[in-house]
Amino acid sequence: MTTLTVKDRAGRLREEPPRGGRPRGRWKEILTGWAFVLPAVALFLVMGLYTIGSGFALSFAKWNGFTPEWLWVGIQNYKDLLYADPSLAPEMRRAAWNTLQVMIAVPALTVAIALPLAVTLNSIRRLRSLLRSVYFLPYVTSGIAVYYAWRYVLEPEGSVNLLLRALGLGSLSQPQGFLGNPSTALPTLILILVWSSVPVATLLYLSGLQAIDPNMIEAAQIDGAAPRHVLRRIIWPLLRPITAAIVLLGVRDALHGFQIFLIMTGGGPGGHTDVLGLMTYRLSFFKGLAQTLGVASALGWLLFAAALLLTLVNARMLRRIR
Amino acid sequence: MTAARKRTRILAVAVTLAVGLTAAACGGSGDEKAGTPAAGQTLKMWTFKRSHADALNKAAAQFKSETGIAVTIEAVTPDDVFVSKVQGAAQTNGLPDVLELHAGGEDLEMGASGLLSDLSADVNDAWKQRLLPTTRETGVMTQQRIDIVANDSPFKQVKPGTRFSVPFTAGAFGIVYANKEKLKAAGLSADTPPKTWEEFLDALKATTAKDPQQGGLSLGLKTSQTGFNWVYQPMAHSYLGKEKFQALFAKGAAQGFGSPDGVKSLELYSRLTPYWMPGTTTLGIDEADIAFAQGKSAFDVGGTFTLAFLAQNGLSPDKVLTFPIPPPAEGQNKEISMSPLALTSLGITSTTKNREAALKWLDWVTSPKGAGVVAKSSLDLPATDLGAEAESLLGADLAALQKYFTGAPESAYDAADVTFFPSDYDQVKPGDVMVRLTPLKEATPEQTGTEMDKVMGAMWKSTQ
Amino acid sequence: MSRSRAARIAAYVALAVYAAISVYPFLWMVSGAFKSRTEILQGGHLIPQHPTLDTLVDTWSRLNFVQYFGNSLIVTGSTVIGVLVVYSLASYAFAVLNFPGRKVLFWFFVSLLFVPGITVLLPVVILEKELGVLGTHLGLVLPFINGTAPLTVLLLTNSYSSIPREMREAARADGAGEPRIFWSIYLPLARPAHITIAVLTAVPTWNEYVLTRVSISDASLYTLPLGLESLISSEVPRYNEVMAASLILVLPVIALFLFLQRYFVNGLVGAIKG
Repeated sequence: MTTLTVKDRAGRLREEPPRGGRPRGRWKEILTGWAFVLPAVALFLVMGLYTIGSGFALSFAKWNGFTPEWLWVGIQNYKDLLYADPSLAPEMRRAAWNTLQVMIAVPALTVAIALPLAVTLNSIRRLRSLLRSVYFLPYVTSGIAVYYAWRYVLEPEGSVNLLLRALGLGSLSQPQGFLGNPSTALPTLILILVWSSVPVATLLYLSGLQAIDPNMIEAAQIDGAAPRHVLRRIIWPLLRPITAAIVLLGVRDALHGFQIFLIMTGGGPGGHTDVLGLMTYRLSFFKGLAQTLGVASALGWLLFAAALLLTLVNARMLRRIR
Repeated sequence: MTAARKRTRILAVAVTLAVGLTAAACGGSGDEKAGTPAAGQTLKMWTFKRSHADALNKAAAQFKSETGIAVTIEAVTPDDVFVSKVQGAAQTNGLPDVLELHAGGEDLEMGASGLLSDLSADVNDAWKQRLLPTTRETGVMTQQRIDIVANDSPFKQVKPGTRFSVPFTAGAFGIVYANKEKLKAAGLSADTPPKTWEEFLDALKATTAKDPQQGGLSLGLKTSQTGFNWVYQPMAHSYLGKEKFQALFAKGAAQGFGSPDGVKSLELYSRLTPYWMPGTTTLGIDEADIAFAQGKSAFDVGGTFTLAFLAQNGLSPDKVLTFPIPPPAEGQNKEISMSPLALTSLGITSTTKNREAALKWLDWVTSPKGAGVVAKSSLDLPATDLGAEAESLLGADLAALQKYFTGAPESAYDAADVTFFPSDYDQVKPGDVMVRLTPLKEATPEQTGTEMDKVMGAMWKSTQ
Repeated sequence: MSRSRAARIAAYVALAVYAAISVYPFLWMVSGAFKSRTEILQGGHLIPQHPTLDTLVDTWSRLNFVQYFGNSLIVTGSTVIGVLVVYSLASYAFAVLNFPGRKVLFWFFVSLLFVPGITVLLPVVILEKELGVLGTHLGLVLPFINGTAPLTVLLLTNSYSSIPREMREAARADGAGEPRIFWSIYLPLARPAHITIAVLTAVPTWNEYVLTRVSISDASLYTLPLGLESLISSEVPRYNEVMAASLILVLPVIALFLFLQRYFVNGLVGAIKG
């Protein structure tokens, strides 16, 4: 089995599987295919179709969640968000700019940390499973503990400031704390988001690396391939789809996520870390219970459209990298 | 109703049949109730405050022993989940009998949407007399409230005078707490509160000069509107007088925040800039109070509920000096008093099968006796006037805070009066603008005035 | 030799540094659980100066742990099993079978990743009322399974696609049908991916609060997060109890992870050698 080559295994979805031969075999294959996806499709029809459809329909209505009737307003909610409402539209634009920064920085940094981490972890023998568990911990650490731990580090008399001053870099320290200064708050939150998304990314990379036949790498090394080449020619092509998945997850979290922003800064100081996910959350629950569920939904679906668009671009880009 | 509902049912049934999933096997949560009000029945009540749930449970035990009616209290926290739970229950006919709600907004919205039963015939004058005077009309839909909302609001369907809730707890914001030891250390008197805004600033100056790190003012500006609601508004109210103050928010902004008077009030507020506790923008309301209790700041702004909270966090009331946000020396009002406003209120759902029993419970729990039981074990003042009992039930210190509730009517700051706000008022937006004025110093008072007028203008416009 | 040794040391140093960063807030959580309320409010010290077991014991004893743990186990266990069954079948079809609609369906499932979750909550409640599952464990499991569809389909399809096609062809030549190939080749070979999916499904399901709180009213059906929330959401924040509760909540998940790690080995190698 050491003769397996990479090319043969890169059977991604866009490569058609070989067709069944005779017409009868073809019918059988179609039926088999549908039988295999049936449970997933059935579950979606039961649980997903109505809920998503109704959520989408809501984006064309005004509703406070209590009245039995919705008030249909057509595409007014979308118009309001994009330009028509003098109160919502500027808020949306500002939050969008912050979200964009998060959306670019978080997936990029996550991959930049998780990939080397996973490859290194995979290459060592001692302490491997211990470290794997340790890297997993941010994924299960509760939000409030995350908040407390980072707050003590980042506050005006926190350890980051003390460390900077001790190193003679007092000019870099933040007298208002790293979350209190508008220009450092967002970058700080980005780092915390990266910290919390690295575990899943590392886990995914590790499971991808586990699927690579070590004999193959060995064979390549015997053939005299440099480690760099092994990484580029053998490992990367296999990890590319995983990277795509990690980026997709990062984009999703950047667009819809709000928990860390809510806990750490609440969008502050002075609205400088407001993001679209947080705005959706506020519209859903904290607009004095006005009829803003429809607008919240419209914002959610705008983000859906943006994410799909980005995914398409992304898929192209990742394809080109190969 | 039910166009949407019917669609749901048809769709769900069709889908269920199509897939052949008979999911009904597990049964619902089945809460059938007896129809007649009598002893031995059980009421269900939801609250969004955990501390109230504990207090209400105690009250419920006593209520049961007196009437035989049991009340089970369920606390649903945090606020967003509570709202979702009520929304879900409203759509699935699963509401409890009684709800505790945020007063003065949430109760009206839910009531106007058909969730709450009209109590105007039940809450008679005798009942109202029990309540603190400024809270009596909370929960009642007034013509004024109906007039200012957008045309498609459910408020428009409500008859003026409909009462959706009864005030339950009350309090006031804009109360300053000062650490007596720090006052003394800075050479200030620990017993005389500052008479004016300027004296307050001088006191802050002295304490921060004494201790730059731990001598400042703490306030939970992570919730940015606290600065605007608790400090700026009472200060500006006394500086400008009621009429000019309300004109700040008015449509068209003829006398808005950008007007000379408005800018002057913002300038007065921005003088706080050098005295904030470092990092106060990153703290939540509770955390700012805790920081103060731990001696990390010399002053703290909160409400009547802050006193008990500080005590629970290790700072006893005799170590703090309390006073309302003081009026600027050159202002309209030389005295300031805070009208207590209802913070939470109780409503009876329109779907209850136990309206009589629920009414009995509301009556009992807002009576001096019931309210006393609740007040003793929660941090909030009841909306019920406890009269002579107040001191024994609330403790001397909390009862003493009530002295700031009384004053000349024209100088009383009533935070419950929201009739002059834009109908789509969202306090986060002005809150953020004010944080950028101080402590962030990103805008001058003039720029802030312009920006505030823009924010208010946008909120007026977006509900046309 | 010395160069590779230096590289190895550098690798360990880098791994250790990141390990410290990873574990740091978790240590706060553990340390908070051993502090008294007064001490945690003072903050500052990672290592408790007066460590006490009282917080943990007290939180534990007020929590109806056995019952809530059992409920959590039912919900999380059914969800994980459901996810693995439903979406491994679908992903197998997407990865290797050929049928019309395959691509469209695959991308449809993946695109669900971006559906805004926040406005789906109320429709779920309404739908479940109609289906008669509102307030039951089944009413939690169904949307939870459905919610993991995009990520699971994406990852498993990818994982199945990277299994050498020759193995499938060889099995077919031996006369094996699709169910057999799926069962005896793809399932064992993609084991690391399945373990990963199990972990990625179990953790959020175990911690889920919002839908559970909104839909479950019967206290005997409460899951751990609901039980814990009712202990800790008091007006006066008791952060030591919050930390203790979080720790109690999370320990089973860590135990699960440590247990599953043993199976997190190279499936391909295992299969080929076995």
